[in-house]
Amino acid sequence: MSSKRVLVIDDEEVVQEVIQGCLEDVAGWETLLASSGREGLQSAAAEQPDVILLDVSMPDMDGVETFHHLMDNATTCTIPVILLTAKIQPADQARFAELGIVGVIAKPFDPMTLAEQVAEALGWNWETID
Amino acid sequence: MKILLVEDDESTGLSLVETLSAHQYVVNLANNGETGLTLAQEADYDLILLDVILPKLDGITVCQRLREQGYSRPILLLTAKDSMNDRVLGLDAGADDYVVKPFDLPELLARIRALLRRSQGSAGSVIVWEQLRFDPSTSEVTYNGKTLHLTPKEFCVLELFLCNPKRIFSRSAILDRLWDFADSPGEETVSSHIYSLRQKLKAVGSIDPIETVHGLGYRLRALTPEPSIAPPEESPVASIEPAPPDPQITRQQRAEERLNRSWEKFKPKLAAQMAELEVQLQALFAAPRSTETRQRAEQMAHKLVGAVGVFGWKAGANLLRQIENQLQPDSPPTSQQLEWAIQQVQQIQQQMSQIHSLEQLPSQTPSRPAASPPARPIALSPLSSFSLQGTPLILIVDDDLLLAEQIRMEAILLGWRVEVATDLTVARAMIRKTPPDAIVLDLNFPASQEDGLALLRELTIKLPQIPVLVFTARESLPDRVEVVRLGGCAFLHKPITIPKILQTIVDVLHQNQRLSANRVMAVNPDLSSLSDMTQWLQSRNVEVTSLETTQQFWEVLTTVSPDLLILDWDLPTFSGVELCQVVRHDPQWQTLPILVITEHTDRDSIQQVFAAGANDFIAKPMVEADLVTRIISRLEGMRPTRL
Repeated sequence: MSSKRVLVIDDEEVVQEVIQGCLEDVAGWETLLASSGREGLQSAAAEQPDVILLDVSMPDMDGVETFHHLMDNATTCTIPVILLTAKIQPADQARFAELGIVGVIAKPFDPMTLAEQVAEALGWNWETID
Repeated sequence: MKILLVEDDESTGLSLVETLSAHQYVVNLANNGETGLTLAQEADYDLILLDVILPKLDGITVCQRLREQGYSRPILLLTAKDSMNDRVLGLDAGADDYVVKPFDLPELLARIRALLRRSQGSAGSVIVWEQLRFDPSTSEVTYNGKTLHLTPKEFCVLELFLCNPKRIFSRSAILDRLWDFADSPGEETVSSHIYSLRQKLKAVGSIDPIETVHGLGYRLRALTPEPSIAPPEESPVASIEPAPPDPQITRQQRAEERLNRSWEKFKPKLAAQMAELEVQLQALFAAPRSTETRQRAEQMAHKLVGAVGVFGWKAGANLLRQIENQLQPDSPPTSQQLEWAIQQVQQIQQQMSQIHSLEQLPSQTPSRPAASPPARPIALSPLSSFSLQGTPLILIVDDDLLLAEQIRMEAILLGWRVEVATDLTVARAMIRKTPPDAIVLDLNFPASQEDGLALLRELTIKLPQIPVLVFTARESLPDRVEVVRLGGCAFLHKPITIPKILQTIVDVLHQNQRLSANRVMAVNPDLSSLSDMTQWLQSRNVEVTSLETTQQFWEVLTTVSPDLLILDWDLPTFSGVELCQVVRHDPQWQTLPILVITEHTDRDSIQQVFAAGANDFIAKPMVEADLVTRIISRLEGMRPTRL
């Protein structure tokens, strides 16, 4: 599997750094970081990542709103999005699925298996990475 | 660790002694200032807990005199709630810290640990010697990852050596440090404890950490390099697990190293945020209606859930998430919830300060095989099925501290409050002080004359409303029967998984919560049977309406609208048969369960009972367990199926 590019949109610096570290070291993926929904939209359009990891609760523009904007933009609407959220109810899950989000990863997640979880959600073949 | 407690109030004194002893401290109690002063001057204590208002000599003066004489060990004052003056005077007199009465035990213990840590530079922190890891905050000792089951005394002996790496202790010095005056045994006791400690260490493959210094005593065996005490400033990881000289560093390892570096980098920031959260929670506790404070606390908790969770510290993240949930606008937290939250935040802070390498994380798998199955991308919290209203208080009574501690850790994640008592005396004191919502009781206490059944017996009489789950390695039918007879709610056989224990607690508590809605109506001409029955059932949260005569039967039935009817077969005026039939003739009551109590147990009579429409019968004389079990199981059968 060729190297992937992942855009992480999360307002917490610590979360950004840990995710970046794990995706780069465990999976060898290139990681792009954005600290807000707005920044994420720009980065997604400009960089065309293979997947976006999107935090749900962010100030100003939250994850769901950011997702809508991504979908409304022709240059970003085909990029798969995985939500990162601590609040995960069955009802939310159904709603997210309806919106077209490809996966939800519940926080707290094990940073060491995050890349595997992302790969699984996207149907990427994890076995071939190493 | 040896503590001198100077406290004149007997009940406070005794309960403190019990709690401290349960946490492996050796405690001497003095009930006036003069005795306290003398003891402090003569014996070697690691810390003094000093009440302010004392007969003969007040605490402030005691403190002052000790400091004047150059006494350097920590002194912690116990002061009354509204005497700001005492606190100032006390600190000026040389006390190191104070706790305000009525104090919160976990807080007091944390302060004691903090003071000991400051004074000794090591006590209260995790100590690592060779492959031996000693954690005083959880009372856990492991060697190379394997848990050692030590008795409290063995634990103290080991702690004494580990905390004082260079010192030689004679047997009498050890007696002095670790035994109470009252039961000070001969010096051979020390030898036998050291012997058993050595045996246990040997069994897990440890080299003997205790060196015998001929003619002088014992000391900690010197290691090259010196035993490292966590938290050391440099390379804490290496002191726990020496880095393997593996030439091929895998990606996983590289990622783990990087993660550790991030943890070190962000730890100060997280610590500051945790402190901030605590401040907000305290402020909210003082002013519960402040929306602004609640919001700030909620935001801070939310941030921390993510930040702590991203390091894979699930336990910490889950706790914080529960705190966050308690701070939601729709149901502002109660003061009890806030108190709990503050306590948890303090605990997390303390744990955090001790985590230097992420491998130390509680419930973290030490090594992750590369081929481990990935977690499902969409996973619902497995804890959701364990939800209970409020924050129930569970008391675990078990001398297996490790197991109790494991249950405690898991239960805390569910937002429960959990207390652990390792012997029956402490358990009794704790129950007296704050009756828990449920008790998990082990039957075996080898160090004691009595077993868990004795406590169960007392609880059945005095506090029958508290559900007790018996939890034992014993496998005998008589034990099981005895437990049922004494009203135990569940019998769990060890070994058993922790989720199973938690699930059973949830079931039992649910049962208790739901049973309170159940109403039973009993008709019996015999007043004493009636009162027995009422008492048995009420103690299980069943509402009982009793009726001696049949005069008002119908009025009472329709008013009370019971969920179950208990009828005596031999009633005056109208007989049991007639009442049974009357009830069954009304469509509204056709499905009401009826239990008949009768002394006629021949075949014909029993047939008659069922023909009249009764659902079950109980033979006289009534046996409590029989009656209660049948009624409860029938009431339970009527409820919607459990989760």
